[in-house]
Amino acid sequence: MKLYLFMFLLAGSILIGGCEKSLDEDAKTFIAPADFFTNGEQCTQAVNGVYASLNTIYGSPDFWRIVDLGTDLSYTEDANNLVPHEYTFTSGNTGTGSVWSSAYTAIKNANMVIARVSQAPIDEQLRGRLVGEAKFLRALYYFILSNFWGDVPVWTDELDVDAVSQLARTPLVEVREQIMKDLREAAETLPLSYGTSDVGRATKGAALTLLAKVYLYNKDWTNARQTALQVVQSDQYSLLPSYADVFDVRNRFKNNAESIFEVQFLRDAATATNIKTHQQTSYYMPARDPGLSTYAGVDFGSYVIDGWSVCRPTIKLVKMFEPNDQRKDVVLGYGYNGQTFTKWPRPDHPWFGPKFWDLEANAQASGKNLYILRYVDVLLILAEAYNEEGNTSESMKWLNEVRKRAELSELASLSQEGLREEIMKERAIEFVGEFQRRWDLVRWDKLVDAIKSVADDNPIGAANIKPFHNYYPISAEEIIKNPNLTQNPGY
Amino acid sequence: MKKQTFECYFLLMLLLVLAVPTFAQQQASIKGVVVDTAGRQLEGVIVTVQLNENQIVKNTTTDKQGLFQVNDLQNETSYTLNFRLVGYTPFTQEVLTNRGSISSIYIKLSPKETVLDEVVLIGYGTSKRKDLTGSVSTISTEKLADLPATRIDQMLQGRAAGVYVKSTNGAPGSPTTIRVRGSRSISATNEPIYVIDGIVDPSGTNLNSINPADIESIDILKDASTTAIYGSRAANGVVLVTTKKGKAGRNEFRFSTNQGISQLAKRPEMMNAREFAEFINEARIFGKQPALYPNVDSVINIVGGEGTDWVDAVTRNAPFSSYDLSASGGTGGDHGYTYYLSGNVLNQQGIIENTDFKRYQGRLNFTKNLSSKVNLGVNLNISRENKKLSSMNLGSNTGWSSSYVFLAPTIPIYKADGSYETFNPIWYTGGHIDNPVAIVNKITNKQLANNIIGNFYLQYEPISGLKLRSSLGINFINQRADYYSPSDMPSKIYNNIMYGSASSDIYNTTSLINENTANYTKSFGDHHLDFLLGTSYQSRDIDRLYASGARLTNDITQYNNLGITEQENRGIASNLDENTIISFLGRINYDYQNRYYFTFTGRRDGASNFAAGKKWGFFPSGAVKWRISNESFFENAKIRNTISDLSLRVSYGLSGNQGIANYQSLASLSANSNAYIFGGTQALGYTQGNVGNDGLTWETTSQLDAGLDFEFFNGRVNFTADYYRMVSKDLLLTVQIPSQTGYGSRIVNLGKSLNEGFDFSVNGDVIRNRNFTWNALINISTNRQEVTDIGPLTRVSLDAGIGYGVLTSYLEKGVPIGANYGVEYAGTWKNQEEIDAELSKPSGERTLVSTANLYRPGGPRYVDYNRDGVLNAVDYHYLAPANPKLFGGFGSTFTYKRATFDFFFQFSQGHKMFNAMEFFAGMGSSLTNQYKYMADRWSVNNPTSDIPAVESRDNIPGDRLLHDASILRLKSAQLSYNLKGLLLKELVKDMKVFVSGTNLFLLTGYNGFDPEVNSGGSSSTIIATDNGNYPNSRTITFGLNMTF
Repeated sequence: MKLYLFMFLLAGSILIGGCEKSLDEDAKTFIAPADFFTNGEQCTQAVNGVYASLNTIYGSPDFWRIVDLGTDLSYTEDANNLVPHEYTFTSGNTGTGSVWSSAYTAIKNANMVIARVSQAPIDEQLRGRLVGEAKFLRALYYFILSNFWGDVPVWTDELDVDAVSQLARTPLVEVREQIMKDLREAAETLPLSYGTSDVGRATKGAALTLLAKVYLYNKDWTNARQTALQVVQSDQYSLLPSYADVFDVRNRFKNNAESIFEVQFLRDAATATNIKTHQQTSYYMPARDPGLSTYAGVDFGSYVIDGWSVCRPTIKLVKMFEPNDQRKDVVLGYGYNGQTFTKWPRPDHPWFGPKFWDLEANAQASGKNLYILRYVDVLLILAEAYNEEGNTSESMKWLNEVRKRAELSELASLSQEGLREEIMKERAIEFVGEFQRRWDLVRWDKLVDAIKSVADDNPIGAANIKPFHNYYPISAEEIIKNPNLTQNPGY
Repeated sequence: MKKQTFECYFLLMLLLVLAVPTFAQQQASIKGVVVDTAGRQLEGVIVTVQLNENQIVKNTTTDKQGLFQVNDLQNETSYTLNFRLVGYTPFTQEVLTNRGSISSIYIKLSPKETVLDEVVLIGYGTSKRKDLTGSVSTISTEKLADLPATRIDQMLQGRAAGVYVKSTNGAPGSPTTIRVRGSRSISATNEPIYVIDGIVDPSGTNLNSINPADIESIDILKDASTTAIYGSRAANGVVLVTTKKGKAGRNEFRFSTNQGISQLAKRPEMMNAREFAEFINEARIFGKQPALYPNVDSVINIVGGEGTDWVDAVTRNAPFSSYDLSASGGTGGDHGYTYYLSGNVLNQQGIIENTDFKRYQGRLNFTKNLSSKVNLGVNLNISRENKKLSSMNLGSNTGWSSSYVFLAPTIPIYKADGSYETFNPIWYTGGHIDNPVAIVNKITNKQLANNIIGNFYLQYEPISGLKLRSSLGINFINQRADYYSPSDMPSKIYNNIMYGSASSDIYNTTSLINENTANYTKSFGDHHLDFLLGTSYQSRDIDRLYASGARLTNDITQYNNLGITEQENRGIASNLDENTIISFLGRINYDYQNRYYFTFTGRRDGASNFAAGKKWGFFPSGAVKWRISNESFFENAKIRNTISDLSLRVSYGLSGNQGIANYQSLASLSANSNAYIFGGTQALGYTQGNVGNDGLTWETTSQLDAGLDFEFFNGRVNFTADYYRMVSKDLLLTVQIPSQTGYGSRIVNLGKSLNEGFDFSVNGDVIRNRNFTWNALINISTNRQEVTDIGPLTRVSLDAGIGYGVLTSYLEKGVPIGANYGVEYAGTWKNQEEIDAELSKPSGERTLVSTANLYRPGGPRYVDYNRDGVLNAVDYHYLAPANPKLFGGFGSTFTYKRATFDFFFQFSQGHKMFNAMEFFAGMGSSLTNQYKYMADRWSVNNPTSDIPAVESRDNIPGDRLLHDASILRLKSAQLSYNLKGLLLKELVKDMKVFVSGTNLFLLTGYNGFDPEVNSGGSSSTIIATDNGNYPNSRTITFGLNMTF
């Protein structure tokens, strides 16, 4: 009996012994980071992954509702967008949706790429470019975070979950130091331009423009001016003759001469294929008439675009335009194809105009690219920096460049204060809906005044707004998960 | 046999022998002694003496010594003696009298088979219930056999103490979710494992392929002593399924059929067209817009006063039919064999149009003795399952724009020209949709599975008591899911993008399991020993290939030729998932004199899906049992007549849970072929995928179980009670981590949970007459569960998938898993003064809050939990458990002559669930139809109403939307009539006709379709959410059952 038992167990243990190795997991469906980053192709693909978050962030209503709504240029009546508009956000309902987590997801990917590509056995020039792209993107993502929340946790190494989970917020000054460090390094290794198949990647010009902008936010006028001048002197960019072309309703001028950095989207209208799309068009289009393909009473032809008209221009914006400003009929919508709208959002209020339309869109899907940095921004940075340095004549020179394109008269003599007002107005008109207004108002410390100035269009917001609203609250959930996070004052 | 008894018996026999000469008389006599199997003399045995079949000559009973004597019998005549005693099998003996003398006989009566004698399956072996040291629920399928069930888990509902079985939805062939003694795990599974004919179901709970009619019995292992033998996967209980085997010498051929109909059992009460039109007008005017229906009557003229009943439009009375054929039999002996062959065709139409479940299944169970020492067997089950699924939105919160619950009754199904109506005037400012009728009629969504489950074993008994057994089990599954949306979907016609889109998703599963066991049993006098040693190796590979094609210009090829779509309109995916588990197991059972029992088991498991170096776990358990009724003091006690058996059991042990996905401990990169656009074309991009975790290992549950087993009146009534307490630690927990890491969560071993409760079950014959019997059974279970540790986090939100940021479930220390959270609803603001008074209070003194935009008369208000004047997630607190505190079932079987009536009720109590539909349809949202009760909403004309006014949707989980989910359900009822011997006497051995029904009656306060649903499916944590489920149905069938 013992013999049988023994033999039986022996057979069993041989079987099991041979299989012991099969407990090792040998995944064949995915690649481990340690097995990747072995050639230029793979490193490029990993950098591509860092770009993907641009679509996530800029393509999300969460983002544009917290930077363009709740300003003096647009208002909403849509129930789902009221929180940032009416300044009712709290730590429990921050109104900021996924922006915080999407930006950190992007930073996490950028950190890994920067750490691994820096060590990868690839061509030196390619490595410099790829690390530069990732650093530019990381700087941009921290720029977004710091503009909404002020102090934010900063980390730049490959993820150590336990350490990063406990990080406290870094003071805004240091966050911007990190952003500027990345941008300076990126500007050194990034090329001025790319071949056609790589159009859309970050360039030296993009890094310098963003850097100039951060200097401007820091009120470091000299560096802002010098950096912006480098962009001008690079001779890569020029203004398109017409503002309407910059925002062509048929997307014919993507990545044009004026574009320094834009988020790439793609929709193939010919085959009705949505490849990478956003819904901004639906948010800004005039309301579609129930059951019809007309918008505010005007037939747009065979287009089938959802028009929700979530974002609408304030009367303040309408009144900002000087007579003859060529941008007025691009920014504001009074009609289409010679027909005037028959319905209006509110008495005497127009809709948002063709700047935001995409006639190639279908339903909610638009493939229109979204600008992050335009050459106009460089010109207006120069105008602002010169003016703040006291050089009004040089400032006006750059400002007039912008006015000329809008077919407005050139400004001749203005005080520093008067010019400052003009520049602020110019930025409002030029960049409305381009994810700038709230950040500009905050850095000028004019957010509260601005909201109170549109009490007619946003009475609740005007009543609620307080100075502490300059920054959004950190989500209570995040503070529960990481008690080292402190809340912004006022929440 | 006890020594004392043997001596008594010897003395008695001596007495009898000595007595023989003293009765030398003319007439003959018969005398004797009647004893039980243990040799104890039996008093009160009725002895009937018959001369031939009909003529009873004498009657007598045995005395205290078990003696009887019958005198005055004819000489040299053959008499038939019948011996009867309650609780014993009647016995008949022929006796030939001697001339003028006394014939002595010795009669041994064996006790009737009772519940305690039934054989119970334990892992890798069997035990008699009376020898069982652990806690096992056994479900006899006898009474369930003729019910229209398609899956065995559906038959378990309410039947076993401590086992809570809940349907997840009512679609034909859809699974249930089972909790054996509560939930303990958070991110790993809480479902028990299934062992079919000894083979650990290699592919998880794939029960659709098994025909309930093939099931002999189901045993559910509940305590650690019985489950530990299944080690790492046993913490959630083990369901052992035994299929029918042939019986040597009993060749049978059986046919049965069930034909019936299913219908929608219950539905929510929504507004009709007129109520809705008035509601939407009020809402529009409130929103400073013109009324949608300025002339309500004109819309009523089109759709009628009730309007379109969307639920009615897509549901139907659905036929159910099933046919079973089986043949079984065999021959005995050293070279004998047994067989059981069966086939089943099932066609269950769903109550939603164009949904169904069809099964074609066959089984072969075969055993063969090669010699007296060697036997082998094979169990093979082959099935093909076809399912048509509903593509329509079933009322989920996020599907408000086109679901059959939410669509306005003022929308007609068809336009005047006969085409489908697409316009939904309340989809914001109006939009075009595919209405539910169009979707159920036009979209193809089907699943097909071919499933082979088989196992082969060889058993060798080299010496008596030692059994060596080796088995090989296989499970091959080919699954294919096809989807097609044709080019002429109404919304596509409207948008003028008339292309078809198709996809196919193909899975292949290959599972292998090899188990080798050695079992040795030996008795040494009063000592009984049973050893088991074994090894197990199990592997499972799942590969998948998915392809899709859009922009199809024809509707003919559908998913059958995806290559005819353009390159950029194709989608493709594939992956491979491999898992291996290696185990060593052992068990020792020992008992002394059937009085003291000890069981020790242990299993060492290695599983591939944990981190390197953390793969192995050891799961030991021990149990003791004291069979008090076998003690001498008990035997002599008077109570022995009432309590015929009494045992006390205690067990303690560890079992594990490894129910998480593969590769979770490994770091990965995830690829996206459409990561970004460069130069106007898509570019492939990689991002960081899973974060590695070097410490990922087993979740362990320790369980204490103490039980009492009573048997009364020799098995007429049985009662079992168990107390259990389970502590689970190192929970596999998907922990929310700060988003600043770039991740929202990761899986770690963290936390503890506790489960405790009582299981009771009683079963007995209340009345037992010749013509009438009444058998009743009841089981009641209690369960209390609590998360006792979730690490540094105070609270973790669980997303029940309701959407719009509505969070109704949290994990928190001291609160049950998956519990309902929210705030107390405090009615509506009645007027502006009330609001102003509340808002003027300083923070800290506030009692009532609303979301910022709903501080208006008629707006919903809530109790301000933290009194800060702001309504947010911080105010959400524990409201009610999602698992019942008390559940079980009760039923009765009445037999009168040939008729049998059986009914079974199932109940659960003490749990609540959110009706997700009400976040729109109970809050006055102008985007959807409303519950009928919203007609009584607050308005200027109805200023005292506590039902919110129009446009009060706030996405706040208020307890107004949280409903008591307690139920009392008439789960099944059946009336059958036995026609045996009445019809086709020569041909038919047995014949029965019956009518049966399931889900016939439901008592509940819930206002959705049915509280017994779960949108979370078999989710570990989300156990009670109603967010768009296929509704449960009521089924009534007629059947016939014949044995030849």
